Formats: sequence, structure tokens, C-alpha cells
Amino acid sequence: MTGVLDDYLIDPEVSLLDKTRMQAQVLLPVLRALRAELGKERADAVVKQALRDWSKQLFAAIADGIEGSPRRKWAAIQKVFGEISGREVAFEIRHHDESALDIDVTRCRFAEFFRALGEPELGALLICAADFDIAAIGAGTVDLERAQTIMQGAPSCTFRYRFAPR
Amino acid sequence: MTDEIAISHLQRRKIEGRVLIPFIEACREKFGEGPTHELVIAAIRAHAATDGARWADMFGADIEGLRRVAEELWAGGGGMELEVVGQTADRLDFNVTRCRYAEFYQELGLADLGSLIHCSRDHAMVEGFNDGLELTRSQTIMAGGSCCDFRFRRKA
Repeated sequence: MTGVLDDYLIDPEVSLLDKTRMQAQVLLPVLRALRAELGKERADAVVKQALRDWSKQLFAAIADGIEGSPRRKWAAIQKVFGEISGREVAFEIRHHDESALDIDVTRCRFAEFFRALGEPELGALLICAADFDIAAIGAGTVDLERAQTIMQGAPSCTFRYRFAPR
Repeated sequence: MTDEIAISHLQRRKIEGRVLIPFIEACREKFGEGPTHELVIAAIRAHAATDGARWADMFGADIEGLRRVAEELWAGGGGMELEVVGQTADRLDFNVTRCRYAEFYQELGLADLGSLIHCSRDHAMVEGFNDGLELTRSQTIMAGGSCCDFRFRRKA
């Protein structure tokens, strides 16, 4: 089931939440040391740039390995990512038709973990950003807007996907 | 939290490497190799000492416990192949003859980062495990050696 994302998951037996926790646990000591050296703002800017580039390249490389149109590539990745990330959240589908998919996430274990750590920005980089990198694969045919997230402190994450006519 | 053994140690290190590698590469680009290495080594060593303390609780804080760390945790799931060449209550000598951790970094063309992130942990791990023990190692596969010669000793 997880086939297309094997390279992202490394080990499909590990839940996405545990994988993200392991990554946070190893990154944080280095990030904290860097903050002590450079100040929080500069250190966080370095990690942000590094992790954004990494995530974009990773999903773009996964998309390259999938046959078909951008829309098809997006659907293949989104299906698996939605499934593995969906296990860690409570959500409601507000609207779904040919041209739109509106989902509100009302509870998120990723956010609970990173907010308890006091590192919601790192959580946003390690997990929330993936949704946009995946949407970018559907270039021109899939658009995602998300006005707020639980990670940022909002009561829900408002995913608003818009699809171009086929 | 995932149980330490449930996922192989190799898989765990690969998962961590996935985010640590781009972060460290970005730091090297920005601040240069020297300052980045100092910073990373300090942070990784602190992390490794904590691992060592936890493994001492799991396996026992003695030479036999270290052997179990090497055989069950490090080599478990095929992470490495090792040959114990000597063991008493005061020392444990083994050679790692194949290392998939090294292969992981070498395949990425990042063996130097592998030495920094992965191999440099071991000395600090021992400090957290039992500070009456110490590790010497003259070569590693990651750095191009034919084997890694782990020599653990009870301090004089």
C-alpha cells in the first residue's frame, strides 16, 4: 500500500508519527546547539531552508518515479500519504466533488507532540509542509490553501483543495 | 514511543539521517566544515550518552551488556556483521566486518558525514553506558578501513 512512499518512510512498519518523533529527537539537540551559537532566528532560518529544500526534492523525486500526468502523480502520492497521516488525526470532510475537497482536521497527534515539546515550527517543517510539497506535484491541476493549522495553535487545520477541470 | 528493538537500529539511523543529513549539509555550506563539525559532534555526543545510559538499563551496564548492545541492537536486523575476537569481564574485542550503516552513507557519497554523525557516537555512548569503560578504535569501514576494530576496556 505504501509502495510509492517507501523512500520517504524508510520502514513502512514505523508509523508516520513515530518516524517524525525520531527525526525531531535527533534534530533538536543539533538545532539547540546551533541556536545557542547563532541565536534562535538565524539557526531556525538555516533549519527551515534545509528542511524545505529536502522535502520539496524528496517528493519531486518520488513523483518522477510515477508514470502519468501531474494530476495522476499527485493522486498516487496523496492517496498513500493521506492514509498514513490520516491515522494520526481526526478529520471531517466538509465538501467533496469534482472541483473541490475541503477537509478540517480537528485533532492532530503531530501537533500535540510538537506543541508539548515547545517546537511547533519544527513540526510544521517536518510534517505540515509535506502537504504543500505533495500538492505542488499536481502543478496547475491541484491547488491547496490552508488558512490555519492546529500546529500553529488554531482549533483546526483547514485544508482546501481545488482541482482544475479534467 | 516505538520500542527500541521493534524497529531495527539500522532503520532508525536511516530515518534520523534523512533529516539530519540535509541540515548538516546546509550548516556546512553556511558556516564551513570546522565550526559545523564542532557543533554537530557536541550535540550528537550528548544524544549518544543518553542512548548509552538507556541501553545500560536495558542490557546491563557491563561488558556482557555491551556485547548485547553490539549483537542485538547494532547488528540486529542485519545492520552489521561482527566477529568477537576476545571477551573477559574486563574487556570486549570485536571486529565489524560488514557495516550497512557505512553502506548507507557511502551510497549517498557522504561517508565523511557518516563518520561524524554515526561513528563518532560510540565513544560518547560508552561514557553514558558506564564511565568505568572506554573504547579505542583504530579504524572504521566508514573511513575506508577493512573492518572496525572495537576494543572496549575497563579503565585502569
